[in-house]
Formats: sequence, C-alpha cells, structure tokens
Amino acid sequence: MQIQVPEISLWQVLPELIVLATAVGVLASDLFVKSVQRVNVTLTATLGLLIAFFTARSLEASATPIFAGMVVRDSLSILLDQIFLAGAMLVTWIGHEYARRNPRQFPEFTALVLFATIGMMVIAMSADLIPLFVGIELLSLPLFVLAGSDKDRLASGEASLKYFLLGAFSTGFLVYGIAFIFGVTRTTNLTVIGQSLAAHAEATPLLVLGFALLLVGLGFKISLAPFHMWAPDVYQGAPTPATAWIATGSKIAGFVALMRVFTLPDVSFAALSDYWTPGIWWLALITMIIGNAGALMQSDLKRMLAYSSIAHGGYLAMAFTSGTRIGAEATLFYMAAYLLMTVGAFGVAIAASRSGQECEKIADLSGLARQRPWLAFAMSIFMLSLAGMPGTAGFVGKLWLFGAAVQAQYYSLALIGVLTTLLSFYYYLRVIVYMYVHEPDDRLLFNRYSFSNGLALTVCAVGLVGLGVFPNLLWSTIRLCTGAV
Amino acid sequence: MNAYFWLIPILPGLAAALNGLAPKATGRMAGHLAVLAMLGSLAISSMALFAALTAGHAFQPIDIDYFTWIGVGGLNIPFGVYVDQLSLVMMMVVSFVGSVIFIYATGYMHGDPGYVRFFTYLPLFTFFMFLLVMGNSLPLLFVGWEGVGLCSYLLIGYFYDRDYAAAAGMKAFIVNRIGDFGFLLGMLLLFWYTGSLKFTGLFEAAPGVFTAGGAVITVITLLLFVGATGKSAQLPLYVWLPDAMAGPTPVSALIHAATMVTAGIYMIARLNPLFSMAPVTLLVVGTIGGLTALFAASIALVQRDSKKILAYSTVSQLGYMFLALGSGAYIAAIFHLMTHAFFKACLFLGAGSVLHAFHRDTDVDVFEAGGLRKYMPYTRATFLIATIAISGIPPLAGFWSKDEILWEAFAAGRVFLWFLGILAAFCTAFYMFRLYNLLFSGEFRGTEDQRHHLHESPAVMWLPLAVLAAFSICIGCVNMPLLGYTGFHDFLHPVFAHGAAHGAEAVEENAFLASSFLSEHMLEWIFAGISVVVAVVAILFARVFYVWFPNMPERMREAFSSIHTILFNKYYVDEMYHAGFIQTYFNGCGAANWFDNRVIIAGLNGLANTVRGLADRLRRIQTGLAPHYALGTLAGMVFLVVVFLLCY
Amino acid sequence: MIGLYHFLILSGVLFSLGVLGVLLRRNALVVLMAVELMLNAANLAVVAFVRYPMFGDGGIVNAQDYAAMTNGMTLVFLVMTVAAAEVGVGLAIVINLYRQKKSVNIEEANALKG
Repeated sequence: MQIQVPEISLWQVLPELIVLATAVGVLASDLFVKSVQRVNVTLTATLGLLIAFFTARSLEASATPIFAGMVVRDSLSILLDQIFLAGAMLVTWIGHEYARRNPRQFPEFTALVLFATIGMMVIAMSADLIPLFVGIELLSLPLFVLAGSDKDRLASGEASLKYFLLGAFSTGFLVYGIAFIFGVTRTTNLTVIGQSLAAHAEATPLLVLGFALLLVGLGFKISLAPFHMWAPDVYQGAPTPATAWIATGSKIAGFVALMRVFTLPDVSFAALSDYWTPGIWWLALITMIIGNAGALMQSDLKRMLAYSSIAHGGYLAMAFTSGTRIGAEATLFYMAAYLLMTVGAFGVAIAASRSGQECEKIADLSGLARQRPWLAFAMSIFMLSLAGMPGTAGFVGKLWLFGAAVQAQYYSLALIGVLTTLLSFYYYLRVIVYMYVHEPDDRLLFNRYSFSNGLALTVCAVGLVGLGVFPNLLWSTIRLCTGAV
Repeated sequence: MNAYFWLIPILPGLAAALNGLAPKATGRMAGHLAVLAMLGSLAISSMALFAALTAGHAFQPIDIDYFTWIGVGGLNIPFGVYVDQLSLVMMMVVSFVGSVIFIYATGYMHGDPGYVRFFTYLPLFTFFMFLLVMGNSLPLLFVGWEGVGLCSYLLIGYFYDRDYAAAAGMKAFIVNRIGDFGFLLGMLLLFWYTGSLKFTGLFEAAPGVFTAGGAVITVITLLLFVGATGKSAQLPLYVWLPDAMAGPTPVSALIHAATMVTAGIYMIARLNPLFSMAPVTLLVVGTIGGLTALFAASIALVQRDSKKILAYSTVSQLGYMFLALGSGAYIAAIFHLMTHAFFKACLFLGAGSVLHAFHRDTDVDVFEAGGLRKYMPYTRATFLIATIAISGIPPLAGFWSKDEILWEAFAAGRVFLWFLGILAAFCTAFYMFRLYNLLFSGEFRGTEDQRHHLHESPAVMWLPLAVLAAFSICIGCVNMPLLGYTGFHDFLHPVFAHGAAHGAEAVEENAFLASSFLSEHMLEWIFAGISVVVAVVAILFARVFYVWFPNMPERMREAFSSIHTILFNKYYVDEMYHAGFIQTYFNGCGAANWFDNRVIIAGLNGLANTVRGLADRLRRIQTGLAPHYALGTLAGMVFLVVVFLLCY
Repeated sequence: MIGLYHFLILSGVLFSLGVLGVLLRRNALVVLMAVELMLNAANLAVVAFVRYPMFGDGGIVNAQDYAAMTNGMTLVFLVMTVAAAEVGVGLAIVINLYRQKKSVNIEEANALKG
C-alpha cells in the first residue's frame, strides 16, 4: 500500500499562521515578561493582524483546493479573511478599553480573540466538512471561555455555562448531521459531493435528515430561531468585547459555513436546493419576527442588541435562502456592514461608562449627547444603520437583501422583512432619543474613553457612512469573488 | 454657476455638523454660524434663479450626477441634483424663508439652555430639505423626506421635559411611518415596472410602461399619495400637525408651515407626469384636499390656543394645494405653496412674538390676550398684513394664489371642489380675523402682572416679521392672470408640459364654461369677485362678533352648543383614534367596535397588539433555564425534519 | 446477520439518550456526559457507514472504499479530539459555576432571562 503525502503549501495559509503566531506570542509574553503593559499587548495584536491582513490581500485566489482537498483559497475566502481580521482588530481595540477597567487576564483575553479568529478563517476556506467542523470548534471553544472571562461577575459565569452547554448540544447535532451525509455520499469533501449531486440530483431520506441536523448545528451559531434562545442571555452576561465578537465574528462565520455547505454552485448541496430551501425559509421567517418582537420591550442595551442581532440573522437568512448570486452578494455585503455597526454599538456601550460602570440599561445613555457628543453621534449612526436609514450601509445592505428575496419571488418573506424593519425603527430610535433628549437621572459624569476605543468607533462610523454613500467600494470586490465562484 | 449647486445643501449641513460636534467651540456663535450658512445657500440659490430667469425659454433643466451612489445589477442610482424651474422655486422658498426664520430664531431662542442643540437640528433640517427638493432621483428625495421627518421629530420634542412634547413627537413619528410605508411601496413598485428611479429615467419610461388611467399607475400614485397625506398632514393622517406645535415657534414656522409639510405637494408636482396619467388618483387627491381644507378650517373656528389655530389653518391651506393638484393645476398649487410660505411664516413668527411677550414657550389662550396693539405695534402691523393676505383680499399675495386655485378647480369641472374651497375661504377669513381681533383689538384681558411685562420684541425679531409682511403684500404680483400677467405660470410651464402631453385627459371640461355666453375672462373676474365678497363678509362677521358685540360669541355658543362642542373637540378625531387604537384593546371589542377599527386604520391596531402580545410571550418563553433552551433547539429540529419530509 | 441498520439504530438510541440527558438532568457534569454520548453516537454511525456502505457490496474492497475509510476515520478521530477539548473547557466552566454557587445544578444559573 502506498501512502500519499498530500501537497503542503503553507504559504497559502500564511494569514492564519501569522494570527496563530501573534496569539501564541501574546499568551507567552505573560509568562516571560513580568508585568505586561496593556498597550504592548494591543499593539502586538494590532501589528500581527495588520500583517495578516495585508498578507491575505496579497494572496492569489485559486479555485483548486489544497491540502488534499481540505481547504480552498478562492477569492471568497480571501475577502472573508480580510473581514474577519479587520473585525478582530476592532474587537481588540474596544477590548483594550474594557481591560483598563478589568485589568486581570488581559493577554489571555486578546489571545482568545485571536484564536477564535483563526477558527473563523478556517471556516472561510473550508472545502470539506472536516475542516468546517474543526473551524467551528476552533471558533467556539475560545468564545466559551471569553464569555466567562470576567470570573467574578455572576452573569459572566452564567453566560459561559449556557453558551457552552447549548453550544456543545448543538455540536452534537452538527456532527450527527455530518455523519449521515458521510454515510450517504461516502465522503466529506464538498467538491466531490457537489459534483456528484450536480450529476444526478436526488435525495434520500437519510441525506435530508442530515441536512436538517446540520442546519440545527449551524442555526445555533447564527442564532436562527428557535435555536436563538442562548443569544440574549449570553450577550447580556458576557464581557462586552466578547459579546461583540460573538455577535459578529461567530455569526458571520456561521453564515459562511452555511454558504460553503449549501449554496455555492457545484461545490455544495446547491443542486438539492429544492429540498433544503423550505427549512431555511421558515427559519428566516420565524427569526425575523421573534428577533424584532423580542427587542421591542427590552430595557437592557446589550439584550436589545442581542435580539436585534437575531433579527439581522433573519434578514441575512432571507437573502441567503434565495440561493441566487445576488442573494450571496447581498449577504456578503450585509455581513460587512453588520460587523461595523454591531461592533460599533457594543464599543459605545463600553465607552459610555460612568464611574467605571459600563452602560447597561438603555436609560444609562441619557444625556450622552451633551457630555460626549461624538460618542452619541457615532451611536446614532450605528442605530440608524441597524434600522436601515438611507445614507448608511445598513440601508444599502437591506435594500439588496430584500431585493434578493423579491427576485427569488419570496414576496411574503420580503413583506414580513419590510414590516419588521419598520417595527425596528421604534427600538433603535429609542436609543437616540435617550441620548439626545433625556437628561441623566443622576449627575454622574461619563468617564473618558481611551484612544483605541475612539479609533474603533470612528472607523466603524466612517466605514458605515462611507459604504452607505459609496457602496461600490465593497460591492465591486464582492462581485469579483462571487463571479469567480 | 452649476458647479456650485452642491454647496447649497452642504453649507447648512456643515453648520449643523460644527454645532453638533463641537458645541463648546461654537457656543454663543452657533446661531450666527447657522444664519451665515443659510445666507450662503440663499445667495447661490438666488444666483441660480437669476441665471434661469435671464435664460428665459432657453433654460434647460440641470441634471448633474456627482457619482454613482448605488450601482448593482439593474439598479443604478446616481447621487446628483436635478435643478429645474420647480426646484428653483422650492430652493428659493426654503433658503429665503429659512434665512429669515433663522435670524428671528437667534433672537427668539436667545438665552435658552438648548441654544446650540436648536441650531444643530435646524440647519440639519434645511440640509435634508435642500436634498429633498434638489435630489435627482426618488431615493434621494426619500432620503431628504426621512431626514426632515427625523429633524421634525427631534424638534417637536425639543422641550423634552414636558410630557405633551414627548408625546407629540411620538405621535408625529408614528403617523408619518404609516405614510412612509405607502411611499416606500409606491417607490418599489415604480422601480419594479420602470427599472429606474431617476426622475429623468422615470419620466422617459413611464409613457411606455404604463397605460394612462390603468390600474397599475393608479395604485402606484395612490400609494405615493398616502405618503404625501402623512407628511403634508391631510385627512386622515393630519392629526400629528396640530400637536406638533409643542415645538419652539420658529420650528412651527419653518418646518410645520413653510417648508417640510409642503414636501408632499412638491413630490406630487415633481412626479406630475405620473400623476397626470392617473385621473382616478387626481380625483382622490383633489377630494381629500378639498375636504381637509374645509374640515380643518371649521375646527380652527373655535380653538382657543393661537398656535393651534394657525396649525389647523396650515392643514386647511395645504388642503387647498392638494385641491389644486387634484384639479391638474400644478402651477397654482406651487404658487399657493410659495405665497403661503411667506404669510404663514409671518403669522407664526408673529404668534411667537406674542408668546415672547407672555414669556411662554408654546401656548397662549387667545381669550387671555387682547388689546396688544398698544404694546406691540410692529407685531400687530405685520400680523394684520399677513391676516389680510391669507384671507384673500386683493391685492395681497393670498388673493392671487387662492383665487387661481378656485378658478382652476371650477374650470376643470370640479365644481364641488370649488364649492368646498369657497366655504373654506369663508371660514379662513373668519377665524383669522377672530384670532387677530382677540389678540390685538379691544382691551387686555390678562392679569395685571402679565400686562406689566408686555413689550415689543427686539428688532432681531420684528425685522424678519417686516420682511415677511412685505413679501406677503407683493409676492402675488408675479402671477396676476386677472390683469393678464402670468410670469410665474410661464416660468414653471415647461416642468409640467411633459406630463400634460403624455397624460390621460385628466379633467373633463366644465360644461357650464363651454356653454356660457360670458367670455372666460369675464367669468374669471366674476369668480374673483365672489371670493372677495365672501372674505369681506367673513371679516365683517368676525368684527361684529369679537369687537363690536363682545358678548355675541357667548350667546352663539349657547345657541349652537352642540356644534360648538363638536368643533372645539376637533370632531373627536383624536378620541376616535384613541378609541380605535387603545380603548377597544382594553374593553375587549365587540363586532361593531371591531368594524370601526377596521374602518379607521385597518389592522394596524391589531398588529400593534399582536406584536406586544408576542413580545410579552417571548419574554416568558425566555425562562433563563438552559434545559428549556435545549428543548427549543430540539423542537426546532423536529420542526425542520417535518418541513423537510413534507417537501421531500 | 448484523448489518448497517443495527448500528444506526444503536447510534440513534445513544443519540436520543444524550439528548434526553441534556434535557432532563440538572447536574452539569451529567449533562456534559450526555453531550459526549451524542458525539459518540455520531462516531458510531460514521464507523458503521465505513464498514457497511449503503450502496455496493459492503466491506472495503476497492480504492474508493479505501478513500472513504480514511476520510471517515479522520472525521472520527477529529471528533474525539474535539470532544476532549470540549470537556476540558466544559470542566473549567463547571468549576467556575461551582465556585460561584457552591453547586453544579444548572438550574441555579437563571439570573439572565426575559
């Protein structure tokens, strides 16, 4: 028997390796340096992420899978790497501010963010169910720990417990789904599966069961209703920078996984779309309604954002269901916009602190406009963008999401989407009203916020308005990568 | 010249940004900064208007795309301006009236703790207003439309520490969402059918895509009109405007009288090629307008709060404009929009001047005032001029525009609209002179302490009043068809010629007119005469009631107590909405009640309750226990499997 | 003759036991074990699929079967590795719960809700 050594081309996964090295370096610095300066940790992480970002940019896309068909360096994965790396940078920056008030375990905190990022990047380049599964775990395990990293706060411990238990539970479904799909197709390679399905598209009950189980596992990651129930509790309890990364990175990675598994033509289950579309259709519908209805009555800012994030998952799933190219483009664009506005909103929650206590209730933002006008202005941009106000990236993204749904003739889905969006204006504008119109109950002043946090918020706000006014900046790149696929 | 158009919205936008982002730096200079920005916009707009006037018939609409705003697939929306005669008129109204009101506001808001905040919102509002009237595509118009709505919402709630102000802001917001929903749907349908949202592209595509008078174009234009009824406060969505007077007076003058509320009229005039193709819609527009004109005017007859009276008057005058639009008299509508901007702004600022003398922010009971002519001569003079103007006495501005609307309605065969209009004109003249007499004639009826404080407003406030009063006198002379001069009409004509050429025969000829032995010009004179006589009679009535026999109103009130109660309570519309939305929810509604709800605003009530109920139930499902969440996951899996197997 | 479906039924039973364990048990450690049971059920299914292919004669006879076997075994080993890592993280989280509440009952953690 001849053992074949698969081709190893490490330079094509160089961005992942650089992030890994940075993460290990940050972690190790705690061992060898006596008192680690926070600034140095953040600077190291930023530097590493920047190098990885530009390395990813310089990579050449190729549709041929590497590492024995396990991963593929197509333009989609390169684009997503950049999105994830930029997101990780923003989260590191707002985490820096957070750590100033909770100084313990700061290097671990940054390192865990970076480890989770590697998981996302692995998902983005998966061409096989095995790296996809490993990527999901690489992403989840650090996030479980991150959620509980504020060890003395009860809520943080509770959040990590719930996140972990339900996450592990859903992993069970995911693996079981993969097992069934393996059983029917005798492979886990998505390219092989896609090609054989495209040749003769038929589904056996076992395969359809596999789809359902897989969808449960991935639906948990992107908190589609009814797999969403962990999200509000975890978002509220976890330390805010961790929440930001759970809400954005993990959710985007979940959608990328869905895209890799279900919709990419010829290298996924796309040929059997008739079988799996109705399921996602229903989930998208329920998610839009539950997310928006849940956010309506919340008084806790992070919990409101959690429900809003669920709702946005519903909008993304709606476009995703269409299975068209425009749907994929809209999903990608909205992911980037969603990343900016959600990280920004959580960043404001961290920055708008009084006497070291970060903002928890929406009412805690009262009077922010008077004392910290830039914070309030940036938050208004994030809220308006989340609501889909014209002039922001959120509007352009939603326009395309709904457009994709209409094009796929999902009229009822689009209608529910538009109606729930109108509803959402209520709870987003409420935040703005509190900031601009209400006086604070007590006369405590807002703390100063650090440069890194201000930078992150500025990048998010400028990016949102920039993409809202000039969507073509990102759109042309996205078109290139969906065109190649 | 054309290269500077982008500066017009940008200047106030910059002022808003500076005041908003660096409130400490601008501080006391915030007002001056805003005024300066507005004057800059005014200068550029004036130059553009001058260039257009000198060019005469050679003037071509200017369509500049600055960059591709949204470009994907079939959707290509540029970011650019479209400046034709219609936009120029609107730009002039916004920048001129805006500048005057800004100057007034520096005096009126002087010493207010929210001075900088005020001068952040107000320039921001003008930024969006310019965007609205200058944008070259429907989405851009919509951006402006939403933007002005947002600013209005913020400014209504300006005195946020008062419950009614916050509630009024909320009301304006919710009512406008209903309208916006129609607008958005109409816009999407338009894109669906024509594949373009740029005005030029729309107008080119429309005649080929739609059949004149067809169902599709009728539905689309009706949806757009729903948006207009929200923003321009027409039946049945007018309820937010009277409450919006909770904001500071300059806001009422600029946003809720002169500019923002006319956005609906501008939108319909801008899209006239589409509306001309839908005669049914035009009939609806005219009827709603005429009914609103009379309805609101009758409410204004008995109100006691000076700003409320003016608010209902605004609703009524906007109704006139829709009446004109519905009769196909787009130019008359725009003409009235312009004259109304001047005299209504003057009236509001005058009322503000009175409030200033009373040291109040929002409301003065007119029965507590009286005899103010002795204390506030300038305010009184300008208020009187504007009152005469709105009552339609020649040769002041209001006469020319209102008379043209009534004549055009009659000439278009809409005799019932003319009748509604003439009744409303009677009410208008009556309630305006009632207001004037109660405020300025007779003796002061307030407390001694109040009398002691009465004073004329500073020059920074009465000078703007004088400017507006001067324009209320003479702006009508740009269009005097009775005297054979139709300069304004000729100037705007090219904008509406295109639509008229492709439109259906929107309005039938008036049979009376066709068979009449009198010449058309003679008839025009006779109708103008009727209007004037009606107005004069109304003014005399007001004089009799409120000056010569001051106890008459009391006796009349007793004699017609039921009518008075109904009018004073504004036909109980607020109560009906309240009952429709909220009360029945508590009462557990019977079938009849349910039907009422459906009639008023169908389903909305139910939707709101469903959502609230759902939200509540959701909170109960979210128990906080991990096993329950796991059960949710399992239920989801079972659901998915069932869906999959059903589809299998 | 023992065949594929016997193993699949066994795997299904194991998986259901795992799910029920998560739903019904309150002890965090037992819930952790139940999750492990679910993963092992999946592993069992994969191994069964390798040994008894759904289509074809059964057994590992040709290159394609061989490829499927490597593929399946890789999956199984990685799932086992991941399960171990998950237990590592899970125990740490349970210890944290115990530190805070002096109990490993997951119903104690119910402060966040609504």
